[in-house]
Amino acid sequence: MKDFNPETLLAIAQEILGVWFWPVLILVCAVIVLNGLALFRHRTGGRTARVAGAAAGLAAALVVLFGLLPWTDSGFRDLNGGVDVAILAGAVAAAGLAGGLAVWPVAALLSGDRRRPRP
Amino acid sequence: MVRTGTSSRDEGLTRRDALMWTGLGAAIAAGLSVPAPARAALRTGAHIVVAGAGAAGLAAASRLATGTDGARITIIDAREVHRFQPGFTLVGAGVWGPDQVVTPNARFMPDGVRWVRSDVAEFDPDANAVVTASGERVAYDYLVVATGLSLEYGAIEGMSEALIGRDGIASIYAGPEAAAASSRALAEFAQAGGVGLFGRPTGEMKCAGAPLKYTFIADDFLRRAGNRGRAELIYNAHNQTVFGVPVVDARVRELFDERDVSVAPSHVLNAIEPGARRARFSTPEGEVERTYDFIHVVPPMKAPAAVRQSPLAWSDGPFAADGWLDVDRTTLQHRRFPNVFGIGDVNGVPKGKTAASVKWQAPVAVDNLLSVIADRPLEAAYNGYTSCPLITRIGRAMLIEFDYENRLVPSFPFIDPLKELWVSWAIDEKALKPTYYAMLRGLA
Repeated sequence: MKDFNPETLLAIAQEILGVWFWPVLILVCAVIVLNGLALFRHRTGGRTARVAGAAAGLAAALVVLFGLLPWTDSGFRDLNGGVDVAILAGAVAAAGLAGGLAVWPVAALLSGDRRRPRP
Repeated sequence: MVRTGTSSRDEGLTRRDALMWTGLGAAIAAGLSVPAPARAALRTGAHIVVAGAGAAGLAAASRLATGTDGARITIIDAREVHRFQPGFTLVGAGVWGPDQVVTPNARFMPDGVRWVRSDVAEFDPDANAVVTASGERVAYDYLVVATGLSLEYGAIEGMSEALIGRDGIASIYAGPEAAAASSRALAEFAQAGGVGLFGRPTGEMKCAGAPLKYTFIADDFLRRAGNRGRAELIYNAHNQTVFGVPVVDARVRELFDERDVSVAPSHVLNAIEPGARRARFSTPEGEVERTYDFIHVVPPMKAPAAVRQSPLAWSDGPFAADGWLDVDRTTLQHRRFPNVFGIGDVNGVPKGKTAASVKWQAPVAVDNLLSVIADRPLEAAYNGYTSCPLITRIGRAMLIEFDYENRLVPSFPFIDPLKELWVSWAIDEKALKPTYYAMLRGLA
């Protein structure tokens, strides 16, 4: 359990994801750069993009909330105290954030700049 | 001023932008996936033989392959299939299938390593050679002994591996299919109730927590079936304790009390009558017979015969009787043959017969072996680190880690090692196997 340096964590991620390792890694990096692009180009996308991002984040959070425990062959009855609840909550929050961040910049960039032109 | 027309800043994502940024993302991804520069490989023409291609042998071979430049590395093992032994408990619990704990050994065999598909039948360290079961004599400059250990079911009168899964007999140690058969036997017991017997042998054994885990799992099976009140569970401890680490021993006893699991101290299984469902135990007061409806058999364990019958085994002391490898407990170097190192279950050291121990032993043994080759002082040290994710029911475990001094050494400061937690179960069920496989590739 000890010695989780970045190289080790990467190796473990490769073992967990198998053939999906590269697609997931590229997807994550694409999300990062798209977010950067959206911010760089001052794209907020308006209400539509924000709603799309929020919906995606909420969907991802719900998937983790109700799917993580069954995925580990357990259930809510197995949560035992603050650490378990905090970790589950953290996973749900991270999924929500990731879902939102994955969808919002794409929606913002595709929708164009909805800021009002200067007078 | 009113802005007329459109500028590029008013446009959405163009195709050129998409291609550029996707390419940048892929470049970042590629950069992230490149491992950090390794320590410079030791230039040597030495021939290093690794006896065994289990967890210890493959981890060692992988590290030696990347840690040397020019060395000839030979690994000797007849097995084509690699077994993830830490998963046997989950197979025995019916959570995993047997196919989830097997994978081809070839998947982890490092490039450039010669694989001799036979077992070592004889060690001749005086001549710096081993002899395989197929009769090949393999000379070496340096040797890593990683043979694992031998399960001695025959040491229990009336017991054999063929009985596992029949007449209420279970044993998760024998292999994936035996663990699966044990799960079926346990499920039958959970429906019928009766007397369930559990325990462990005297002497050294791998994963000393597994007999306790299976007791807890049996209790859980019965409760889920609504039949706990129709069953009596007895844990037959091999001495006055149920676990070698005192604080864990106390905690497990608390949990046994809560779950109405009784403990019979100093009861060691020495015979079994499958047809009559009767087991015989050696105790300080003489032999005791118990009838059972379900029994989880854990066989005595020894070093493999090739090690036991060689000059490499301990010749005196507590590890001599079962022929464990005579290594220094800190450097893992053989105490009489300095060009020999040991990793894993075969070592005659006070602790460390778990996969997690191999994760810590392999880099120590390999680093020290390379130091011997380079004529440098041995600096890497193994502190006895052992980890036991002690399953207390399906969905919860205690993440117990300790060292030679029986000190708890948790890896995660926010996880109480003596508390039954879902997160500890999740680590065991989801994170342990990929970490283990990364270890086999020398990357963890």
